[in-house]
Parts: sequence; structure tokens; C-alpha cells
Amino acid sequence: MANIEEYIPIVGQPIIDDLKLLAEKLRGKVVQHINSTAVGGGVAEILSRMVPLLRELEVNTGWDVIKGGEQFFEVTKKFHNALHGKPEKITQCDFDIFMETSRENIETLDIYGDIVFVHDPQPIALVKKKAGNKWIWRCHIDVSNPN
Amino acid sequence: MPELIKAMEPFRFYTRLHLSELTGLRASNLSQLLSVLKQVQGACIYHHTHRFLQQHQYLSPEPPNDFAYWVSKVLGEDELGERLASIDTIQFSTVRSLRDKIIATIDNYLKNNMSAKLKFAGEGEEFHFIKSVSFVLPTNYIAYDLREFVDIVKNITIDSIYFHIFESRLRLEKKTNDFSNWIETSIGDKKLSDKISKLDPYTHTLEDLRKTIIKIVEQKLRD
Repeated sequence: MANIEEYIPIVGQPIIDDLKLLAEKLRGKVVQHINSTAVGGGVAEILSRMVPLLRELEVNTGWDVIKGGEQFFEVTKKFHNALHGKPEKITQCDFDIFMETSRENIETLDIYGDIVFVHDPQPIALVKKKAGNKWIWRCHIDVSNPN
Repeated sequence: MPELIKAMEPFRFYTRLHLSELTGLRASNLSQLLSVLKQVQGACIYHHTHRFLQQHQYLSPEPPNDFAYWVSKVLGEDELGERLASIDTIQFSTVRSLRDKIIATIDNYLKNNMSAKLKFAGEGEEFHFIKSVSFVLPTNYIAYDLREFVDIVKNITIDSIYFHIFESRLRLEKKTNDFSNWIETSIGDKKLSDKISKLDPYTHTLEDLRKTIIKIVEQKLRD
């Protein structure tokens, strides 16, 4: 995988310098990314490249993945489709499945970031662990025409 | 070749990043638009009259502000849209005076076109007011003379050029752009300073603006 210096011929030295300036502002802070898959899907593709680049910029960055079974991901797929505009029937049973797995993740997943990025809807219930730190929901879905 | 003049004060380049923040304020018709325009922060006026400059990198778009676009395309008030689009932003040295002009333009139009008040945007087509939050950072690029200055301008990010040309002049109310100010006060070249300050940056893309500034300064260095 390309390191950050290899991007210089493409974007120019000043862009990389700007990134270094921004990274300096995050010294002493821990940034934690949370999503639902380690491989496969756009978010994993982004994080697998972005996290090493952030570390190269000396931003203390972690990446954690929630756990979930087949049923959980079937429900979150419905959420995803509905947010994207597709008609979906979401039942109480679906919510129960979602909350049951979310509760397990809330109990087991360690939140250590000063800044926590939660990617997409699957890990969204983790916000119940929000304390004094900053939380950002990074939505990768086009929600301009939700159902 | 004449010896290069060393600047009395070096020029430090800054860079600027921004965040667009929804205010929750919206308008469905011209009366509401006018009412909200009078009370929103200057950061909203700035956002809706300047965001296109950083978004459109290949064309100078028309109309150049969101108010003109919405009034024409959503409300169908083409005449007012044209009047708003023709507001010459470079003529205003503060966001406050630019806001006053936009308000007066809509106000005057409504006085003569009462029926325009009856037009409403369809659901989902309301005008949503967004404000621009800026983050300005000093870079490590510093110029001590015009040669160093132009070499840096060739490579600096367009965010930096944007900050020194647009944001600094209008939002920080410096009256002129930072480049002209430095060339006049630290290099002592009023003629060159005026050449850059007389550019209408709103009619250029940022890369075009960069090329134009380089050309002007290099011409000076050759003379």
C-alpha cells in the first residue's frame, strides 16, 4: 500500500503539508473508528487505507469492528435500504434483533477514543456509551431521499 | 536584471478549511427568505454567496449565488433571479453590505410584484440556510521577496489562494486581498499591488486566478 509521501506527485506537496498541519492539531488525542466489517464494503476499503495514513501522520488512530450474526446484518441491511429510499417493512422483531446484538456490543466493545467515528447505521446504538468524548456519525449512505 | 526587493515583512501563507453547518432555518417563499436573510449570521450570507467558488473548479458558474438560483429555479421568479445574480460581489467590502444589497433587491422586487409573495416552493425544495465555519491555519510557506512569493503561489493549495483573495478581503474586512496588501506595504510596489487588486476574482476559477496572479508577478520580475 502506498505511503503518504507517494501521494505527493499526484496531489502536490502543499496538500500533504496541510494534512500534516491538521494532524499536529490532533496530537495527544486518540481517534477511534468503528464500523461493522473488517473487509468488504466501501467503509472497510476506506478505513484500511485511511487508518495507516493517519498513523503515518502521527494521529493516534484505532479501528474497531462490532460483532453481529446473520440476522443482525439482515436487519441493518433493511435500515440501509430504507435510508437509501427503498420501501422496507421493519418489524418489532427486527428491532429486537438489532437491539439484542447492539447490547452485546455495548457491553464488550471498548470505547477509548477522544474522538469516536461511528460509520453507518450498524454500530449506531453504541452512542449509549457516549461520555465526555466527541462522537461523529459518518453516514456513507445517500439519505437525500429516504423511505 | 534589477536586484529583488526584500520585503519589510515576509508574507506567511495561510490555509483555510471549512465546515458547512445547517442552521435549521428555511424559507418556502420570498417573504420568508427576506425575513430570514435579515436575521441570519453573516456566515450564512457568506456561505450562500461563496461556496460555489470552492466547489466549481472548472467553470465560473452562473448564477453565482444560491439565492439567485433558488429564486429562479424553484420559485420561477426569473427577473428577480437575474437581479440577484447580477449583484457584483467584488463591489462590497463587507458581508454586511452584501447582505443589505441582497435584502434591498428582494424588497424592491416584492414592492412592485405583489403576486410574487404567493409563490411557494414545493415540499423538499425549501431554501435551507447553511453557515460556513472556517478553520484558518498558518502554513510553513513564507516569502521574503517576489520571486519566493510567486514560486510559492505556483504550488500552494487553492484553499490558501482562496483564503488570501476572498475570505480575508470580505470576511475579515481587510478591504483588499492579502497579496495586494503585502506587495504594497512590504514590497512597496503600489502599481503591482493595484494590478492584482483590480482583478475581479469572482469571474475566475481558483486555478485560473492562480495562473493570472503568477503571470502578473512574473511579468513584473521580467521588467
